[in-house]
This record gives sequence, C-alpha cells and structure tokens, in this order.
Amino acid sequence: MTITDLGRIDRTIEIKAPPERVWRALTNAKELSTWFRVKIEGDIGPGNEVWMTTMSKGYEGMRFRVLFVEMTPPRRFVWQWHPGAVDPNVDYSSEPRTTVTFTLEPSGSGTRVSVQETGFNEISLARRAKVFADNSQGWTEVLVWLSKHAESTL
Amino acid sequence: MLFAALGDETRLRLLRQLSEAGPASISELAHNFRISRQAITKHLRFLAVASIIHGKRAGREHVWTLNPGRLAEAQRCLDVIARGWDDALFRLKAHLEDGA
Repeated sequence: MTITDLGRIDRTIEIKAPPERVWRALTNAKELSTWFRVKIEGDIGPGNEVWMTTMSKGYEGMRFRVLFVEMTPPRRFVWQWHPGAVDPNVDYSSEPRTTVTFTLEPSGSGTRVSVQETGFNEISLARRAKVFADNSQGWTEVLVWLSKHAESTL
Repeated sequence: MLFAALGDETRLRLLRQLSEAGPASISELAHNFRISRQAITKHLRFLAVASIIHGKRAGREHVWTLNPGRLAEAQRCLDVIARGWDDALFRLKAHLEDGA
C-alpha cells in the first residue's frame, strides 16, 4: 500500500485506435452505454446531467446522476458522480461526488487512455465499492468494511 | 474524515515516516520537518481524531504509532473500485479493437 496514493485511483490502457475514435467511444451515448454497460437517459454534453443505470450482471439496476464537467475533444473528458447513491429515502446532497477524468494521449498510431478518480470520503468509498466493482475478489473484505461502517440505510 | 485527514501533504509525509521508520515522538518527527512543533502537533491531533494514528505517553513525551488497519480497509475498497476501472477500460479496448 502506498500512503501517498491513497484516496485516488489511476488506471491506464493502450488502445490501437486514434484519439478521435476513442473520443467518440467515450462521448457518444450509444457507444458509451455499450462498453460501459449502462443505460443513459439524457444527452452527453458539457454542463449536462444524465441518469445512468447499471446493466452489468450482478449489479444491474442501480440508477444515479452523472454531471459532465468538461469535454475538451479529443483530450479530456471529466464527469462527477456518486454511484451507489440510489436510495430514494436518503438525502445525498451532503456527500461529495467523485470526479472521473479521462485523458487521451496519442501513443504511436494509437491512444493511451488514462482514467483517474478522486474525491472519495469514507462513506462514498464504501458505497462506490459496491457499484461497478469486480465481485470476484475483495468482495468479502468490502462487506466486512460495510458491516463495520455502514449506515442503517445501506 | 479519513480522506480529509489524508488530503494534506505534510500529514501524508508524517504518515509515511511513521509507516517506514516506526513509532516516533514529536521531537523525532520534528527532526525531519521544517515546520514548527506546534504545527506538527496540530497535524498529529488531526490524524489521531481520524483514528489513523494513536499516541501513548512514554515518559515525558507522547509516542505516535500508525493504526495500519484503518488505512488497509480504505485501501481494500479502492482496490475493488480500481479493478472495476481495469475491467471497464478492457471492455473499451475490446470495443474499439475488435469492433465489439
């Protein structure tokens, strides 16, 4: 564990497609919903807010709002969300949204895609870990964490 | 509270020192930091309130120790989320390269 890295996530992948093509896959609603496995209600655009509903097996049906903060084609795509904030009886307004930043850099004839997620606090971290999570590993630890720290609404 | 406590460069450096060099008193910590003892105390208290460290009186001074369990729990959640992103990026790659 790296203490200095705690509280943010940075992931990168190399893709054999030019930045403009990758940009379209990120920002075109039909394409985004295909590979990200969400249903999208609303239009993707800077300053817009949409509803996303998860469709992946095992955690389908979680619906939450996503705000698009910045779109600088074909370089930077930033959104804010609070996946896991799905209980209609809970007021989530005091809980911070996390910020997701996609950065596209040309890499040879392809693109290096980086995604960074920042802005976690303890409660949003626990909720967030339940959504889009890889259930194959770490799940029991997350459940232990939740049972120790969960609010009654979780 | 956990991430607020961690969202400060000096506090992160204090934690790194406690993690790498073991429990330490304020004097020992102040040795490596060019800020006042008062400022260090303030940071240590913040970390103690967040239960990331705890202090124990040893003679005339407090000795501060990292509570590793606290950070490990948060790290586990972050690992789960990070693997979710790995999975999503892999699907993006397949979508673009395989025409999926």
